[in-house]
Amino acid sequence: MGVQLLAIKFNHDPTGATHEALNLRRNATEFVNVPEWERGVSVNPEDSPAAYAVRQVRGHVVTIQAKFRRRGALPQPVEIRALDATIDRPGAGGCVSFVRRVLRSLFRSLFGGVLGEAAARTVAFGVSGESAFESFDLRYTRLDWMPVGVHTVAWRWQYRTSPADAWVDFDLTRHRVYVLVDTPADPWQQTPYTPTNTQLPWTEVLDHACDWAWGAHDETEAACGVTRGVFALGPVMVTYDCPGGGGTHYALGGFNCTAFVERLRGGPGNGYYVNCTDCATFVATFANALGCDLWQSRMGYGFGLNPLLAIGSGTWQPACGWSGFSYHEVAWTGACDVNDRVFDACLEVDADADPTSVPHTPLLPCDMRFGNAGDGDYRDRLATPVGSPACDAQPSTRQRRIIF
Amino acid sequence: MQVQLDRLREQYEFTSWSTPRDTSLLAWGFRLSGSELPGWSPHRIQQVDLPGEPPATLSVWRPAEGNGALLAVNVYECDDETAARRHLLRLLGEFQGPNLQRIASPGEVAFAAGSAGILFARGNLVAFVRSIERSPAPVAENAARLDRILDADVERRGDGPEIDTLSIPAAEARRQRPIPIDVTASDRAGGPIWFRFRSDTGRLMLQNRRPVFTPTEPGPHDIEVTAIGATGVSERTLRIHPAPGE
Repeated sequence: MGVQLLAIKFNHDPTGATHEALNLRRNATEFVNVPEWERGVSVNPEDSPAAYAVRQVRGHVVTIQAKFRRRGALPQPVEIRALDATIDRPGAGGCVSFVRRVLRSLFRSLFGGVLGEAAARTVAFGVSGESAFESFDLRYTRLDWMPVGVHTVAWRWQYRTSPADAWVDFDLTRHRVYVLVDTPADPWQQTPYTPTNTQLPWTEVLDHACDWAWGAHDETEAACGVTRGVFALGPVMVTYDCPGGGGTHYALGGFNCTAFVERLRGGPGNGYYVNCTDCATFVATFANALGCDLWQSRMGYGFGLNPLLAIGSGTWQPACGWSGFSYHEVAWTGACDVNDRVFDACLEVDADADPTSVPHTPLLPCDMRFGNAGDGDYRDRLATPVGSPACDAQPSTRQRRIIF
Repeated sequence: MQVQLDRLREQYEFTSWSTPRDTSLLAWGFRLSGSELPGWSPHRIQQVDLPGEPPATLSVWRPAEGNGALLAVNVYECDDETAARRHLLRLLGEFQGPNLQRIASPGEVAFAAGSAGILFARGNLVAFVRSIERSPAPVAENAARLDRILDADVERRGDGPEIDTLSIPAAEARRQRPIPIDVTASDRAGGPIWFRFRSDTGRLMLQNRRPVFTPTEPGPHDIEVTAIGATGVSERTLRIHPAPGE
């Protein structure tokens, strides 16, 4: 006799993002099916992923939907709830003293799961013994103010047959929850919500993007986190393509995100070498998965370089010892023009008063104004004084490469 | 992007290599089966078809005797030879470093990025072969091997897919009028099949992703059609007669 949890839907309304999770897929080939959690199918937290855009859910009651089965001759209806298992561990008594309640409240605010708990509600069962998908309000969620991150939520499901009865545990579920600044921006899409739409946000991208931007409260912090995360891939995972002439490896035409994710997991990917187009695409695509609004755009053409530290390199020099770049590409905000901000994970520039010579103070360009020649902004730190005038913003090249 | 393309045209003297040769060569439905490069096996082969881009076969290969080297082989299927050369120019714009060096072979137009990569155009295809790991892979040798497959593949003649249908909807050809070519093939060995067409008396190209032939000479026109499968290739000739008065 008892209750069994059958399924949980986080993304119960694919047209909305204010009360529910976002539309997701895992990668280019795998869709995230809803219900995300299913009995007998979902074992590990990553088997039931859900992503929330803080800017969308802030101020709203987030809900989930869950379906149950009645086992044996259980009187009905029953009351069902899910406690935050990080606060209310299985085995802990349901009846708490005042002091324990206060401590619990404090503990919850410090260590509680990001989705809080599912408030109790009455659930009735049909003749088949199964309930409909019933909506549960989540309370004590931390989504309103939570920074970017990826979390494991554990819920302790309980039922009782009357308010006078004690709550009875019947299931423990665990879920992977991604917290994003806002709804993912292009090239990521929320519609059409179909298994063939490969531009729905990938959890395999969110795993890394949330890691790199962990703790970011806004788009700029998130984009800077991703920029730092990509640059830090060198020299172990990637390095600048000196042997191949600075060629694009992952972002020729579209973005071979499948290959890049494979590389991030320690596989071959598209190999060890990257260039600026690759890095610009990594940053813009991964940051936009978190709700940022970046583009990939070029500058040039044909300009001399100041000494810099290319990704994966420990030597201050114009990239690979070349005299200059034929072009350069970065992740860029807005119109990708002079007054817009750049995020460059391909290289560190010299941050001191004279970027043309030693000593060098490494600075990873993150939220830097591109600038006019002579302004002392990103452009003058990258290009030599002679080359800077040729290092024009080329906003007509602004794009967001399709993901595959 | 146009500014960069104009600059690339000048830098790479595009006009000197943009004129297609007399024989028209067209590949259709290009696929890699995984058996093309002896001593190498594919780690990943992707068929990618993105808006605004030619359909592409993107692949990464590992050596049979693993030494950590990796080889990337990308093949882009453009509508015709002219489009292939334009795409080659676009790919040359994906290098931040000094100009690539023009080399005599493989293909009809080729460029080398040091010893790490070779880009070339053959007919309507553009191929990009490069070494992508710290242990260098033999790029020139594999690019040459790939080019032989794209161009003729005489080594594997016989034991290939069977060409089931080969026809044109019109019985006769008129100069400058495109004629669609219908061709299908099957391969008992399974696996992907692609086709190559060759003509000395007209232009071959893809229109709406279908092969078409446009006579430029009086005719008759012999189009050599090759079906390429994983285990071999087979050939047939399609003869098209000129319309009366042509």
